[in-house]
Amino acid sequence: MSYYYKVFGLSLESPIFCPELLVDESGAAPEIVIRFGEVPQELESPVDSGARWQTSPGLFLLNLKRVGRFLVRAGREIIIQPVDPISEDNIRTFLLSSCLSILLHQRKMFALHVSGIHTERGAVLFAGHSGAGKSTLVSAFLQRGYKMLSDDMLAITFDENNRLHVLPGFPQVKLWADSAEALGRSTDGLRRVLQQYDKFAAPTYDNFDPQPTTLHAIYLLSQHNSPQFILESLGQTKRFNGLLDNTWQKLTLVGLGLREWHFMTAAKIASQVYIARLTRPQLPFRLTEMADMIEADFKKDLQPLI
Amino acid sequence: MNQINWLASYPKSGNTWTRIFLTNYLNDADQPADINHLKGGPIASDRDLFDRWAGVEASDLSFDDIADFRPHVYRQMALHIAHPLYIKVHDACIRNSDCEMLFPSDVTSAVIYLIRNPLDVAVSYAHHSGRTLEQEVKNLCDQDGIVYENPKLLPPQIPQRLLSWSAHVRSWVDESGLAVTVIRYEDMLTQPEAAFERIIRALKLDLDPIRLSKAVELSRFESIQEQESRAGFKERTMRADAPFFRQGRSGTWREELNSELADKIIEVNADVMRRFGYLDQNNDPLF
Repeated sequence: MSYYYKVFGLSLESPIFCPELLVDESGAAPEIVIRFGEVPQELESPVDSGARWQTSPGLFLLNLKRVGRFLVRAGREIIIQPVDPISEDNIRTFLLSSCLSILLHQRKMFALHVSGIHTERGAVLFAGHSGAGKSTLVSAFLQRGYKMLSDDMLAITFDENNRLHVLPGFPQVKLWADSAEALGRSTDGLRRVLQQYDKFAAPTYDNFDPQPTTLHAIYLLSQHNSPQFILESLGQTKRFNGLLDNTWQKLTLVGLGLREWHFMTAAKIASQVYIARLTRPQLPFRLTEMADMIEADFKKDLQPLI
Repeated sequence: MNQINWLASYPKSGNTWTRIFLTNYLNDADQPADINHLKGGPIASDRDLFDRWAGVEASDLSFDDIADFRPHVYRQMALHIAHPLYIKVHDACIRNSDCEMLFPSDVTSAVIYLIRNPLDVAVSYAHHSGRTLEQEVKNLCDQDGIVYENPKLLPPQIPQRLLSWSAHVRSWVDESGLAVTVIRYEDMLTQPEAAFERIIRALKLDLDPIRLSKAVELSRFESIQEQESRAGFKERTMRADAPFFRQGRSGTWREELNSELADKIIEVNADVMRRFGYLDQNNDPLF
């Protein structure tokens, strides 16, 4: 049995039911095929390796002892050999994050580790490490009527006329219990992502817009232990570094033979997009104030600093 | 590849002070090092550090999976970073489900283990965490002690097992299989030059007596407190009820810890406390 979905503008065939993805009813031939199969313990001639992964041009192998092995090939195929017995929830966690991001890179679609929303002026994206507030901010903007682009991954491409396009992810946010509380949202009935954490997957079908868009602004979120918010527009070098830093699976790109493409693409995006750093107080999470500040900023006609 | 120097301790045992001294020594400047830009950070359990080097996010992994990844994470760091690393760590030195030490010997250059009277640790930790003395004493005596995190939110650090205070000491000093230099916090207070000289030697740094004296002077507690009151300290949690650099003394437990709680710590940790000179032969406190 196969399921057909559309994600990042690509059609995808999967043997796993993925309730978080939008169904593709077009009948188009899939551009990405996910299948179960044998995956080797190691690549034959890896160029680079990391904590639990190996790479060579066109190939990425991820080996997770309690979940399974994943092979991502040539931007077209993901082969999964699960550890038995394991829930499909757990497989999807890595399939729809690390593996899908590598596949996008292999297709030279820049996989940014951001959440984001549609605005009248184009996409507004939020980057930052785990816990910075990416999902919470997006959820807050959905409550204000904005449409969602992604919870933690977006693809950026350039067309033949060098115009930048942001390709949306899928309609789900992952929320911690404290964020759900701050948003006034109940976690009853939501799927728990991992048994050990109060982290829940919330569907957002009604607030999702899968249409590609232009890019208006990126906010890099960080925290400090002072009570002030600081919003600062970044110069070209910091914008470039911010994009490198917030690239999905950036350590793997050398072995995939994509380092030069990664740098060139980040430089191209940095040259034309407004990127600002927003530093917020660590505690308490003053969500409304933060969203107000960002909303007031992105409603302006923003230009990147020279 | 053996370039990681672990600055290991139970929390609130002089680790940050050691990092301030080390930064001053390595900077060799005439002004005190900025306490918000110290060597030895981020801590080994930093979530962002893990996510960067693991290639998957800790928040998608079970506690056991995270522990399995950790030695590989530090190997990745050692492989990609050319200069010596000084990394603060509060975890006990334990094995993961692959039977590997979290802090692998093949990338370790040296371990400085900082130890402090657990009676004072209890008081200091309670002010730092905003939790009660009872809770901190219970944790110091618990074989399954952890760094407490609120389960409802994503903490900035990955899960850290401390074990009890005694088991923490033994995990590093007796069971890690690593070359460990033990430095007592109380000796850093009374004989800073001698204590810090041992640290410099253990880290295989060139020993320069003039530089050592200068670094000790620039790392005086009063100077650090003054910096914190002026510019804040980014490693202080907003849960804390006191400045991070609070007193810098030994024996303050006598003013804040009741005898029942002190007895509880001594009862569970007496062997190791005696071994490191915190109790006499009759189990009476020496500090």
